[in-house]
Amino acid sequence: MSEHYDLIVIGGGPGGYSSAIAASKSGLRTALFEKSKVGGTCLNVGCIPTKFLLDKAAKLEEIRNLTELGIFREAGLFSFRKIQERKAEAVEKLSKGVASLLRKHRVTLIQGEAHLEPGRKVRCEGKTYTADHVIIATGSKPMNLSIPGAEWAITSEEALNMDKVPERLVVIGGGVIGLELASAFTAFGSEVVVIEMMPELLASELPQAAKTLTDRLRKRGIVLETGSTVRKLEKSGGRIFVIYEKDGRRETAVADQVLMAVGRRANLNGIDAVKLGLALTARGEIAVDAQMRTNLEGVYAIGDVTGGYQLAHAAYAEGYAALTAILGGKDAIPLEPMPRCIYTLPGFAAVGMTAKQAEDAGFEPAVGSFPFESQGMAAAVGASGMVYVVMDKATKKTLGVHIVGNEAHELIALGTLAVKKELTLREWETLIVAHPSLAETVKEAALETFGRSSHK
Amino acid sequence: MTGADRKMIKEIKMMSAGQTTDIATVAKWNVKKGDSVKRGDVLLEVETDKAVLPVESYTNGIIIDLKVKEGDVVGEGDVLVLIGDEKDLAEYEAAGNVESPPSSPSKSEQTSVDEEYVPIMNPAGGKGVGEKSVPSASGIQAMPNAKKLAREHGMDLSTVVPSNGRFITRADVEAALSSAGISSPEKAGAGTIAQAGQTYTVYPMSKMRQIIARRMTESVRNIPAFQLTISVETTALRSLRTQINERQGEVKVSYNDIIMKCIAQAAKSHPLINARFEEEEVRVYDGTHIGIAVAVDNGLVVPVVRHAERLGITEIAKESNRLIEDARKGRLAPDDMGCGSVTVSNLGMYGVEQFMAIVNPPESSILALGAINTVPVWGAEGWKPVEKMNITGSFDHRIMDGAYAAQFLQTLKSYLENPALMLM
Repeated sequence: MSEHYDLIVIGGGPGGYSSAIAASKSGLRTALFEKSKVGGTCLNVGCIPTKFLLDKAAKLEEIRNLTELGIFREAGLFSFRKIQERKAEAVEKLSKGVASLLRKHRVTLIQGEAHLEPGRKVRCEGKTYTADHVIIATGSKPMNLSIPGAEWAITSEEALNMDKVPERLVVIGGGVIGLELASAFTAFGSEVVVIEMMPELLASELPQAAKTLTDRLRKRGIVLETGSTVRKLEKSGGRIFVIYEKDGRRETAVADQVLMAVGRRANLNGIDAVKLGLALTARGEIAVDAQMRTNLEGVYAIGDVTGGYQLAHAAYAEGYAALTAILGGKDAIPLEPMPRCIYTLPGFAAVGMTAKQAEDAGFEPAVGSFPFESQGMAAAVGASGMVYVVMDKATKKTLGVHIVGNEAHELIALGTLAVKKELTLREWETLIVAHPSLAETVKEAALETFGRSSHK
Repeated sequence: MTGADRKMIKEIKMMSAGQTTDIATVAKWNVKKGDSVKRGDVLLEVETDKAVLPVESYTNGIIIDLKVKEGDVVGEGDVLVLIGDEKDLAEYEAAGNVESPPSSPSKSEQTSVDEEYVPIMNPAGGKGVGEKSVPSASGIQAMPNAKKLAREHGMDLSTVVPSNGRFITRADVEAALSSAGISSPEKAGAGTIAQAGQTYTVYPMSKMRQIIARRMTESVRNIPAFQLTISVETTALRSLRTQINERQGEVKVSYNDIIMKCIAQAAKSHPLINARFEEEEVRVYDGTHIGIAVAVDNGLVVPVVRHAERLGITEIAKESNRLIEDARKGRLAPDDMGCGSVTVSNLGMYGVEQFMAIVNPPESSILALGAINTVPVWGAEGWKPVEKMNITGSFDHRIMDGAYAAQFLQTLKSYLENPALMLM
C-alpha cells in the first residue's frame, strides 16, 4: 500500500518549501520530504547564519568608526560566543517558522531521506509514496578540491559554527561564500587571506564594479591573492600551511583554519539518475527546460540541483515556474532579471547585463556611475560605495544596475525593477526618489549615463 | 545509520590519563584516514598537564575516521579513532560519514566569561579592523601587503619602524628586509628570522618543550622556593653499593637508588617531604613517592618510584631501571608520572659539582645531586682524601621553613654517611 499525493516535493529548502506551500494553497494534496531541517542550506547553514554574522560584523565596524570619530569614547568588548548563540536562536526560530507555515498550509512534512523511483514513486523509511507530480529540490553540497591535505580544510557550514575567531583564516575560493565569510571574520579580528584561481574576482560581473569591490575589501585588510592555485595543505604544530602558486612562484599562507569555498555541486542523494533515466547536464546537474521540467514525465527540478544561479531567490522563482507548469500554465515564467547579491562589507549587488553582455546582445551600451560619497544620505549615515548603470545608447533603456556599497542588496530592488521595466532615461528623469536616501544614487548614476546628473 | 552494520569497526578510546588528570588535549595525529596501521603503532599523542602520552593501536587495520581533532580536549573513554578493514571504510563512507572529523567545539569550550569578551578596538588605540591600516594581533598597525611580506619572511613586524609614523607599509618591510640582507622577495624559509643584520632560527617547540616551559614558569612564578646545600661524605655509600653489586649480579644498584632509599627513610621523621601543595592545601601523602628527572631527546620527564619507603634498595633499583628505560623509549604510562612529592635530579655524571633545581609543582622539594669528588679534609691525622658529594635541595616555603628542611637534610646526610643508621 502506498500513499498518494497530487504533488511530492523532495527537499525542504527555500525552493522546496515555498513551492509546497504554494501548491497546497492552490488545492494540491502535497507532501514535502526533508531528511534534515526544513529551510535547507539557506536557512540552516547558508544565507541566514552568514547574514547574522555579517550583520554583527558590520555593527562592530560601525562602532569602530564611531569610536575613531570620537563619538564613542570607548568601543567596549564583544563576545563571539554570544554572537554564535544568538545566531543559533535566530536560525532555530526561522526553521520552526517554516515548519509551522507548512502545517498551517496543510503540507504533509515527511522527515527522512526520500529515494525517487521510476514512475513518480518515492521510498522513504520503508514506506512508499506516489504522486502525479514530483518536484526535485534537493539542493547542493560544498565541493572540495582534490589536493593533498584537503582534509584539513573546513566547509562553510563548519566555518559558520566555529566556536572562536581564528587568528589567521585562509579562504580557498574568492566566490560569494568565500568573500562573505572573509568579510565577517576580518571584522571579528581574523587576519584573512583569500586565494582565488581566477586573475580577477567576480569575472562575470561588470569589471569596474568588481574592481571597486576588490579594492574596498583590500582596504578593509583582506589579503586577496588572485591568479593563485592552491597546491596542497600541510598541518604542523597546530597550524595549517596553505601552499599555492602565484605567477609561477610558490607561496605559503599560514592559517589556524582553512575554509574551502570553491563552489557547490548538485546534491543527488536519493536521486539515482541512471536508474531513473533522468537527464543531467555536463556539470552533473539535473537538466530542465524553461518551465523546470526534466525529461521525465511529471518530474520537475528546481533550485541548486539544476545549477544556474544557486541562489535561494532563484529557487523561489523556479519553484513558482514549476508550479505554474503543474497547474497547467503554458507560459514560461521569466527567470530574468535575477538580482545577484554578495553580502560582503561593503556589499555587492547586480542585476541585468554588464556592458560586455549588452554589447554581445547587440546593444550599444553606455555606463554611468555615481559615488555614494557625493550624496547627502551617504554623508549623513557614513555610507560609501559606487553605483554603475548600464543603458542602451539608442533606446536609452536600462540594461543593468551594479552597486558596491552599503545597502547594495536593498538598493538592487530598485535596479531590478528598472531593468525588468526597461526604464528609459526619460522615465528615470521623472522618477521621484525620496531625499535624502541612498536610492538617489541609483537614479543619479542612470542620469549620469547621458550626462544628465545634476550632482556630478 | 545503525551500529549493527559496522560492528567490525573497532574503536580506540582515550585511556585513563592518570589519577590526577581529568582532561587531555590531542597534541598530534600520526595517522590519517585511510592509513594502514599495525597493532602497537602510535596513532596519536595526547597532552595532559603532566606529559605527552602516546596512544597505541590495539589492532591491525585501516583508519576509518578520526573522531577528534588536534587541540580537542578528550576525557577518559572518549572515542578517538575508528579502525576497520577496506569494507568497513566503504560502508562507513557510504553511510554518509565522509565529512571531515567533527569539530567538537563544545567540549574544548572552557572559556571563562572574562576571556570570552574581547576588545572591539585594538588595544594599541587604532581601529580593531578597518580601512587603511590593519593592526596585527600584536597590536601593530600595518598594511596588509606589508604584513604579508613580513609573514613570508618570518619577520617580526614589531621590529619594523613605520616611516610615516602611523602604520607599516610594504616599503618599510622591504627596507627592513634589505637592511637585514634579504633583498629578494623570495621566501627566506619558515623559521629563519632576519633582524637588523642578524639572523637566527626559530627552533620548533615540541609539545614536551611547551609543557616544560609552562610548568617551570609556573614553578618559578608560584613557588617561593629556597635552597639549602649540604656536603655529604660518600665513602660509606660507595662501599654499600659495592657490597650490594658484588653480592647479586641481577640488578646493578646506582648511587641514586641508595640515595632514594635514604630520602624515604629521612622522610619518615620529616613527613612534610611527602607533601604536595594542591588546591591551596598542604596535602601530606602516606608514603614517599620519589620522582627521577630523566633526560630524553629534547626534553625531560619525571617518572615516579612509588612508596620508596616500602621498597628495599634493589627493589628501588629494579623499579627505577624500568622507569628510566620506559622514559627513554617514550612509553611511560600515565600512572608512572605526576604523583611524586620529591624529585631527585643528578647531573654528577657530567661533572657538575653543585646546582639548583626547580621544584616540579606541586611537589614539596627537589634534590639536586652533584658529582662525587675526592677532596682533602682536615682530620685528626692531618689531611686525608675524602669522597664528597654536594646535595642542594630546593623546597617550597609554603610547605616548610628553612629549619625544617635543614633538619631533613641533616637526617638525610646522617643516613648517607652511615647507612647502618637506617636499621635503627
